[in-house]
Amino acid sequence: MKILLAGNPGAGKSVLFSRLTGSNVISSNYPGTSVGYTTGHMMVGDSKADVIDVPGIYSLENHGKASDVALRMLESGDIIVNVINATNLERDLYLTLELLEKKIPLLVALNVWDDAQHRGISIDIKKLAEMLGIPVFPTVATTAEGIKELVESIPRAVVTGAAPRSREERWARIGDIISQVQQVTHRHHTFGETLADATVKPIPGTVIAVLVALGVFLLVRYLGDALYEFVLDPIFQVLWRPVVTRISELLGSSGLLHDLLIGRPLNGQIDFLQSWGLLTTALYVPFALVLPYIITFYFALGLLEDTGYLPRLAVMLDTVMHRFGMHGYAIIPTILGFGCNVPAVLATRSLESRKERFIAITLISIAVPCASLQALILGLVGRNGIQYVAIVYGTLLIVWVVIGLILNLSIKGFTPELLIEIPPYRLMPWRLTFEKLWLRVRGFIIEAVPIMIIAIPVINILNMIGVFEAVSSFTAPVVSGLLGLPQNAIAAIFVALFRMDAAMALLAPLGLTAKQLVVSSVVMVMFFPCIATLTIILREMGLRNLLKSLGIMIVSALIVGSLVNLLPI
Amino acid sequence: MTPEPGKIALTEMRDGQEATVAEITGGAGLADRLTSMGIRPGKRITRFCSMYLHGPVTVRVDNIQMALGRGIANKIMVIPDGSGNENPACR
Repeated sequence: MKILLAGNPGAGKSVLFSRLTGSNVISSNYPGTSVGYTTGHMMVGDSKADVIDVPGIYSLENHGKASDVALRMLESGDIIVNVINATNLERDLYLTLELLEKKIPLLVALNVWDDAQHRGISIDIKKLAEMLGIPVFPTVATTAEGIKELVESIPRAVVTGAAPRSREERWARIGDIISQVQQVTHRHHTFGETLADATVKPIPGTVIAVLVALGVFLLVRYLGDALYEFVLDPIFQVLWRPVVTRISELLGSSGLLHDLLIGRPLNGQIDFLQSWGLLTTALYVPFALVLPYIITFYFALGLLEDTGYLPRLAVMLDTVMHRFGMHGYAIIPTILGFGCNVPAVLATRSLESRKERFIAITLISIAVPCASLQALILGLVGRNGIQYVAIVYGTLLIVWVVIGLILNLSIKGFTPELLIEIPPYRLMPWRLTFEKLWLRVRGFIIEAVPIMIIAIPVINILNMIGVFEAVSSFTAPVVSGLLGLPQNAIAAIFVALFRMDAAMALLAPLGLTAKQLVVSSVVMVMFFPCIATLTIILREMGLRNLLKSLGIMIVSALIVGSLVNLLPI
Repeated sequence: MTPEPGKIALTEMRDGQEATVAEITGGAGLADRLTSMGIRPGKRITRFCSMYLHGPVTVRVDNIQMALGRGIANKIMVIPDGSGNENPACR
């Protein structure tokens, strides 16, 4: 049996989906979170059913990518759970009436029920169910209120056999229903709403945006530093060091197996960053150096997503973003890119025109460092002082602006205008915020650790047989001549292709100066994206566009790298 | 600036002013999209605020807050209520 969750964007389908299936999907407080679709399972009575989270649509008639996908999925469903946002009953009922005309069993989850009550909206549920001819259940997906009743009643979904109506007839019917089931008590603006409104007014909005950006950076940096210094590094130094030292002794402190597992000691001591063993560097880099910033970044991102601040930022930045050939909504994938470029590229699906997508994707992979790279920048470059970190980010911002301006002028195509719904601010239960954080952190661990475990011995072997040396003499004119880096830094730039964070471990032992670290960070961010991002760009944009994008990355990385090398820092 | 009675574009409304949507000019595609998002002839609409440098206009219809680019806002014709400046401070 196939159960489909269908509804307007922002009706809370994704949260309801995780309530029904117990599997976690990333939900956010802005329209269009589920660009693809997600499947899960649940038990209905004694049988197992597939549950599908259909992308949010306002109507079945709009011909866009999302509604085409949704329409095709709806045809294949056995039961449709129509998720309605109770605070927007009138608008959401349009889709409901359209769904009633499909000959598929239907029932309604009247979601966000708590908020409707706070807003003074009262809905006569019995009357609504009667007029629609299908069961209606009030639910609050965020707190699981009403979910049990909904699940138990799924088999009672009904085909009404409603005759197809014209558009005008549907709106007339909705007017009729609303006048009989809904009553709205007028209510004054609360302080919270006044504050919420301020975030989309020009001047207070700008001040708030700057404060939010600063707050996020400080939170990520200092909370990340604290996690490293007081939790994760001590775990390795105090608990793990005795274990690997013992293993090292058992292996006789030398030999191939020893060097693969433990690596080469530095001054007689195991060095977690530079020894290059499977049990040392391959674990220390992802778990101690990168993980803290992954946790703090996704925590901050989760707060921004769940509260509903991001679409407001999109409105604030719309005018600016149009200079770069994108509308304001493109800021959301860009911000996601600071975590990982892969979901960021996927999130550009919500942008309508090809031009806009190409620009957004190219800018993300050129100038937006993912969390692993940022861990490298904060960790290695930051040791020499915060001003060098500022130079790296400042350079990337300039690159983003300049390349954005050039791409906008040189690429044909159009940039559609902004047309978005701004969801009300909302406080998510902490449990959901942390569940989402855990989902993302787990994703990082599942993805990063196996690659590190493969990459470290491979790099080790390549190093032993002298591949990097051969390559480095070949690339020396560029690496040393233009960029002012030692020849062997090429190994790090090459490794960055596979895992940005493994590159960090290669750079650390080279004893680079502050300026060389700045140059290599900037080049690594701008040069090739990692393999995972490359694959996604290929899938989303095709080979031609990928090659174009890569050309821009390589050329601009070399130009900017050389320019930074000329700076008197 | 006192609004003239009769139809004006959404962009010509004052911040905080209320109106009734009269017509959506421009293609059927835009009208369809706006209709399904909640803006259609006969609905009450409040212009909330507009962003500087010809940025998007924010409006409220029922409980829905939306941001529209200038070009789109220009195609929405409304009949304003006249006075009634509930929210003059859009700065």
